[in-house]
Amino acid sequence: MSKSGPQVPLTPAVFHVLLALFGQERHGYDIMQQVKSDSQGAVKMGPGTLYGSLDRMIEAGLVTKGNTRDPRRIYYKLTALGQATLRAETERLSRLAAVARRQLGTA
Amino acid sequence: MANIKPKTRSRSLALYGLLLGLYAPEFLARHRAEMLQNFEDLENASSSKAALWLFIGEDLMLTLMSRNIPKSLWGHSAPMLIVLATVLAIWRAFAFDTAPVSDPEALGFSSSRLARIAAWQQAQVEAGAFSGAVAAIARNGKVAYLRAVGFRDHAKTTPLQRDAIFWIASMTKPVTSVAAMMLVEGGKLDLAAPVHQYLPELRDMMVGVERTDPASGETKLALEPQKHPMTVEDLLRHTSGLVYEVGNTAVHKLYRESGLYDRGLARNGTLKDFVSRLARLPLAHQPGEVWEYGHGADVLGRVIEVASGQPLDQFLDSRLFRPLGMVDTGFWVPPEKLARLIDPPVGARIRPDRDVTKPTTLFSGGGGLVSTAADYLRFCQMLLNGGELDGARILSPTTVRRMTTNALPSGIRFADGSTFGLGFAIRSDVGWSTVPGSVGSFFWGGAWGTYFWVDPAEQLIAIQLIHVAPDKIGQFRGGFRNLTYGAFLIPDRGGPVSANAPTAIDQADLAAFEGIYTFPASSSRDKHEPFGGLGINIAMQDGLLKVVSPVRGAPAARAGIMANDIITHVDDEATRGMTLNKALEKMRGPVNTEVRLRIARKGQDAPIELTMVRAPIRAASAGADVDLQVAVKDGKLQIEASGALPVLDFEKGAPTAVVPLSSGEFLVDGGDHTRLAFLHDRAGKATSLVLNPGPWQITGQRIN
Repeated sequence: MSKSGPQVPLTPAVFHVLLALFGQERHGYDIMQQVKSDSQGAVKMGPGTLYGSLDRMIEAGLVTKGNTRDPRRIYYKLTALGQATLRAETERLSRLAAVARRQLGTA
Repeated sequence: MANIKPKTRSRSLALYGLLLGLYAPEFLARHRAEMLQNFEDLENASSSKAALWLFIGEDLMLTLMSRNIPKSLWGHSAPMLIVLATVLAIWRAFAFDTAPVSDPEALGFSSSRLARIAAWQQAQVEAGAFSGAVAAIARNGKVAYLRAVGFRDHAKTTPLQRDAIFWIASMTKPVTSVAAMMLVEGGKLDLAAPVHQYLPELRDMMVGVERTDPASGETKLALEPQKHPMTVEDLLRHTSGLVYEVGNTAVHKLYRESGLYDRGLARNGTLKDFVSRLARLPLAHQPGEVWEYGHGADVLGRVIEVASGQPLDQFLDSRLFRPLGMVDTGFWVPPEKLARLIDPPVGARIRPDRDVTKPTTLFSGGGGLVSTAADYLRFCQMLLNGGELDGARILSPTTVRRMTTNALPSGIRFADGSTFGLGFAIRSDVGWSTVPGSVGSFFWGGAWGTYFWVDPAEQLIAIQLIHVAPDKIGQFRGGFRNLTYGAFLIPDRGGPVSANAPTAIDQADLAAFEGIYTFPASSSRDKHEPFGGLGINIAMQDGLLKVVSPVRGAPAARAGIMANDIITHVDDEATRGMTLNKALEKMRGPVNTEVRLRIARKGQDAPIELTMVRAPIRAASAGADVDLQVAVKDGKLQIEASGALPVLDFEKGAPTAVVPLSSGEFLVDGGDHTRLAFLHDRAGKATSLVLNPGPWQITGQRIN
């Protein structure tokens, strides 16, 4: 894998933010709500955690700023690398779940 | 769920602004404006202050710990962090948290017995009684149980979540009653005052009386004036003479024919319009003389609007739901929450005014609300606390006591063993009821089966949310009550062991009980047929079929198969490259047929060839029979269940030691004190095992 390709595994926070931004630009509060709904309430992300992750994700080239007209509601969106990383991590997780499922049984 | 946002910046926001100073300056330069906006959004959405600060505080702690500390640990932020940590710890200890505790035993419940609630609801779902259920039980201010079972939809495509939204129907009445009492405490409403003092349009309502002409035998409806004007208290305790459309008298008939809910009024009318329509109908009884369920709480809703000067939805939202953190309670479900709304009962006819998926302006204080188990728990906990929750004071303890004490004059009957307060029915007699509950418990339910009660003597709250056809709700209320009280732990007083001095049994005699005993599953409806197999748990690891554990006494174990053996061939077919399911299929087959396995075992060079005969095996899945494995360990008899045996003390995979009471009787010391008695055949061999000998005993047959 080249250095610019998707780097997985991801932390749960990064994975959730990527997932929330898939196919839609969102501002911070919107991301938090989407993460909460995607995880069925299990992951509740606060502003500090969110912006800490977003900064690192921007640096890693996964996310970029979209609409920045209102400084209180800056929108974020996925880059092509962000999309590829999200897909790669989803693949990795489902392979892992499949292995776990295969390995349990009774005869 | 009106959004009433104060124009001024809140004190909380100002405090959050100060706390942001703990972050690194370059981080703040990028995100300060966003974070303040986020805080405002969060404050508006989740408005219990305790919950908000717990969430924000945790976020601050987490992020500051991971990044900012090394730089400024000895600077000004260290003391602030310590204060923050302390405040958070105190909050976490005292705030009412609707997440269930991990140890219900600490609240006086048996975990395994609480689990029977979900099993019972699951059986109802499978029988088609309702699509899904959410149940919540709290005790001593902590949540012992909060689970969802079944599905959100009748097509069974979406599993129901704990935060599912239900139309709670008449469970709205206690909420409206509490709102009215807040105004009474605030001096804006007088319980003893005539209702027409607030709603003049109701001043001249007449009372309908059926009179039979003795000559012709004809029955006519005569109208009489009110002897005593209807009071506000009459609205809260259902003695107003206002009734519902259901009933056989001429007045009920008039209600049905009146078109109270004509299309025009359905969702875009107002309470004022509704009350003026109601004013044209006669009362069914003289006010203050008879208890009859009816539109009293709807009229009370309008009284609240007049006395408070606010529409009912806004009053409830700003004075009750927000302070209590009831974030999902309101008169309709906004679009972003529609995916959480459970389907109505099969075949339910939904009056247009009850369609909670659309905005409404007709706020029914008698039955308009939608809510969740967590929200209603918060409401009930406020009542149980004497009118306060997490610092939000709603009522005084005196008022709560007054609402949950009989309010009916001695001549008025509500029901045997129960009486009525202000907005709640109250258990008044320990007998007279088919369901358990302490005297002083208060309760009510909704048309589609939602139900709650609060038992102050036990510091207990229980809520069951379901949607069923109205004629079937009774059995589900009773069932849930029985299961809830049935899950109470027996206080440990040394137990009956001391009463029956334990007997010593020697090792050889104990070994005679060793074996597997099979018990019928509690629900016989979906009993799994046993299949022919080897009694072996296997796993596929790195392409190798590995034995996880042989079941003791089953063919594989008797043939000498051990954990960690690798099965290389089944009936001469190599297992390499087989799927797990394929291997399972190959090993299963008709009972009494042979299977040949080739085994590779660590430390043995040559493969081991073993032939064994398939025996009846039960997969340990839900609804299947349950096996109890009896074994001797460290000189004691030990029992282990292969599956859930929720009625008793045996948890799957948890060996439970038993103490002997006599030569053939044993007892689980602690928990439910399950008793076991072994039965012998003439040769003295143990053939079956009876759990809790007596009228409710269950018998298991020995299978090996």
